[in-house]
Amino acid sequence: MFLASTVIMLNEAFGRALLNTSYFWAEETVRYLMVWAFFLTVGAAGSAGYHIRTELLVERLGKRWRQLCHFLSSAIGLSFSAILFYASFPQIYRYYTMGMMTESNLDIPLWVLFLAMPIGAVLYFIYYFSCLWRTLKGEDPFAGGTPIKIDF
Amino acid sequence: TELVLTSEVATTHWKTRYMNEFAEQVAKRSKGEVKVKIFTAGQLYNDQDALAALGTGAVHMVWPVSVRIETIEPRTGVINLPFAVSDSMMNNSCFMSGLSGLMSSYVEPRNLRILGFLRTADLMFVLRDREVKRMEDLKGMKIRVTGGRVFLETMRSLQISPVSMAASEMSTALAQGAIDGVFTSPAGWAEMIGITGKYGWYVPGFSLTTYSIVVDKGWFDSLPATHRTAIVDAIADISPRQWQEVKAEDDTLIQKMIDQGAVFHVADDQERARWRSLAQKNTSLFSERYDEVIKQFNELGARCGVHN
Amino acid sequence: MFLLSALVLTLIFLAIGTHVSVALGLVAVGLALLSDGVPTTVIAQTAFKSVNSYPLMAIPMFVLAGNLMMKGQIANIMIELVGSVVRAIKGGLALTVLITSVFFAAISGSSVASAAAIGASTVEGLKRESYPIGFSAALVAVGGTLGLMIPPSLLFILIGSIVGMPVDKLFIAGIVPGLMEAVLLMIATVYLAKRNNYGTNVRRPDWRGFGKRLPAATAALSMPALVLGSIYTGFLTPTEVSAFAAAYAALLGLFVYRSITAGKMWSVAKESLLQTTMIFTVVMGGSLVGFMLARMGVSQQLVSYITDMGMSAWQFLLVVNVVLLILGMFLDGVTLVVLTAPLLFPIAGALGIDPIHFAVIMVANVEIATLTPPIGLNLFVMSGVAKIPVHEVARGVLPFFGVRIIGLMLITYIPSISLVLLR
Ligand code: NA
Ligand code: NA
Repeated sequence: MFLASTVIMLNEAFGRALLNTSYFWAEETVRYLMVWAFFLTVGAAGSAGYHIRTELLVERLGKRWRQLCHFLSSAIGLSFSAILFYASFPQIYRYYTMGMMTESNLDIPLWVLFLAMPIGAVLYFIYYFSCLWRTLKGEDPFAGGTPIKIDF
Repeated sequence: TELVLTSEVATTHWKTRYMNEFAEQVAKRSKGEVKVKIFTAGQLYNDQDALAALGTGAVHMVWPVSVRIETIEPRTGVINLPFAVSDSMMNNSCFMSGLSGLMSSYVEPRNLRILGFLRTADLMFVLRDREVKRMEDLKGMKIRVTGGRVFLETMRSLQISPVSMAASEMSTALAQGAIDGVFTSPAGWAEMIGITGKYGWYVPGFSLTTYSIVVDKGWFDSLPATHRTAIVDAIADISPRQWQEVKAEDDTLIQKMIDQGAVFHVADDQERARWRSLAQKNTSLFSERYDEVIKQFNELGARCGVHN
Repeated sequence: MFLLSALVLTLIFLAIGTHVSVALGLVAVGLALLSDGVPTTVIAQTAFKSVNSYPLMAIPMFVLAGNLMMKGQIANIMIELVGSVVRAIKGGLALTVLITSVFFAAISGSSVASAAAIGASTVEGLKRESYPIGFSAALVAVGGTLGLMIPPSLLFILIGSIVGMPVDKLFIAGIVPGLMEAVLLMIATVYLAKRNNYGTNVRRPDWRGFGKRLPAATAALSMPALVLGSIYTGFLTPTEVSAFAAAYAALLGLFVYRSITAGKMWSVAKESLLQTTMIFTVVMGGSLVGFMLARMGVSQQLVSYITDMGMSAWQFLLVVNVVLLILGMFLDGVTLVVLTAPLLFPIAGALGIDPIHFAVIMVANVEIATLTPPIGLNLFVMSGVAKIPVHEVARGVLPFFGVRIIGLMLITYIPSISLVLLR
């Protein structure tokens, strides 16, 4: 999806710059492809240790306190993803009753595109659930998230 | 009661002024019982997202450009057709209130209500280095546009290549020759582009754009009658006045550009008739699909004794 | 009152090692639940629209372009090219590293990636020429931060999409301040090398070697020119340029430098996507907090509070710099921007500060934040690359720190440094 949106954007760039044509749908397609790519990888990014966090204090704590922190952190992640999931349905329902479509001539109902959010929320939830599980088994669920992966 | 009203334009835009006035009037007319909370500059939502949030309780009212409502109900596109409405039609109170009712009836099944219209601008062509006096002069140009499908079709049949581009980029793009012109409002000409766009070409009524005053129907209907009246009356007071004030302001801005050395041409009746017949061809797609809408629209005009 | 508890709660969440994104998200949820007239579904609306933004789409593709360019031998080629002439002066190798940093800054949108790429191929060489390892690591760490100021810059994209400003103008605004910072760093480097007798191995300029290496480097060298040129002339939008840059980097890697295979491409793309997701999650959490602060009228109150205080623009900028420097010690760049931009920009606007100038000031602060302990990402990276403790890198950075502060002050109080190319 990510590569597809790169290709579409490239096509749009060349089209606009060299051929004087502009595809009004290109912008929207790229946006929604990336939004989907984002929500579908939000859990995977966690498992691969990409989410930003601060280890400064935690790594100085004793094992028991550290596990408590991991437990709380997992619980916070679980709560947030659960709320994200729950909160997405009124909006999906509203898009559905309103019948709002995309702005360009893609003609896709927005409620379909918005489904990315509950799906992403489930994947996010599963990730934090596994963190919780690993904490309870006595492992460090957030190990391996090195700062080198942070791209800023 | 709290009425959350959002807007995407800057706090300094004249639209905010009318929103503030609306808030004051509603407060006064409802004896302080309805409190309008205004969030400008896209602080909460841009207009499209705000429309989508109407009915979730997060926002109660939005004043988007009418084209945006086409994403919800294509029949409302009738007001955006070329030469659909004119200043004199909208100054007729019978037509204005009838049009609100007609447009509202299309979106009410979607749990929205349209309470009125404001004048956005009568759009015109602004060109960098080519003087335009008739439609043929525009042939082959790259022009930045926003707007609905009928409008794009009309542009294409003039052999213009329409370019989609952020408003913030259009001034630079024009200065550097990446585009030949923009289709914009007098305010856009005077305030964003300036004399870089030396040539103005105006076909009156070709694209008179409007803001729709849209409200969450479920929320609105649940208000006590006095509150609803306060809101409706405030709009009835502001809307016709706004129409005339903004029209006068636009004329002043055009004059300002002419004073700075801009070359400005207005289509005469004969030229305007040519644009009309061209636009007519492209509206056929709309009228084939929504014939009854065109009929209702024309009937309303006839009833109030106005036409374009 | 419950704003204060929200702030405390956020800090606790961050301190116990919660992911920044969900910590911010859950605090925003709490604020939403406690405010009247704010249905929970705004959480979903805001989370979705925060990532559904066209300017933001430049981030994944610039990340991909940067990652592709960092692979393989491009850093070595550049260092040899520049080194063949610059090493004629004392401290020449250190200067070479800085000049290469400027080149990488102009192709990469971030600071860490270029530090890692340059660090890997220079730390050993610097050691052989009697530069202390702490100094070398610091040099690369400091040079890497230029990637945030010199376009393309992920930070400018982020600021542009949060505040709603044209990213192309922000990019152009970053060029002169970025080059100025580079020059200040070079002066400091030459001074330090002279004083401490680093880089004793002075050679005669090897113009022949330079000419021989130039053709190989041309393809890579033309990339920043193409990227900057097409943005500066308004030929392409930043998002279009980002796609173009990614494609160009892929072609270079696959066919010109053969530094990457088609199979490797896939894993680089995957890595770039995950890095993007990481940035976007923080954007999502930050937008939720920003939305709630706007909805509760906090932003508005803050603006009127500051303007009622009669604070002048320069006083405000001084306060902002101090606050950002302190926050920057503890927060990473994305979080810092996402949290403070929605609050600070309206105030700056009310005080008549050009928002583009203000964005440059913000980026200059983030550059410093990546270098200040305890949380300074470039310190971490270089500690990993040079295999020395973080505090040793930090000590090496100390002399450069003064230079950065001077640069920050110049940028803050001379707006035309940022705005000159836009006039
Ligand atoms: Na850069
Ligand atoms: Na720091």
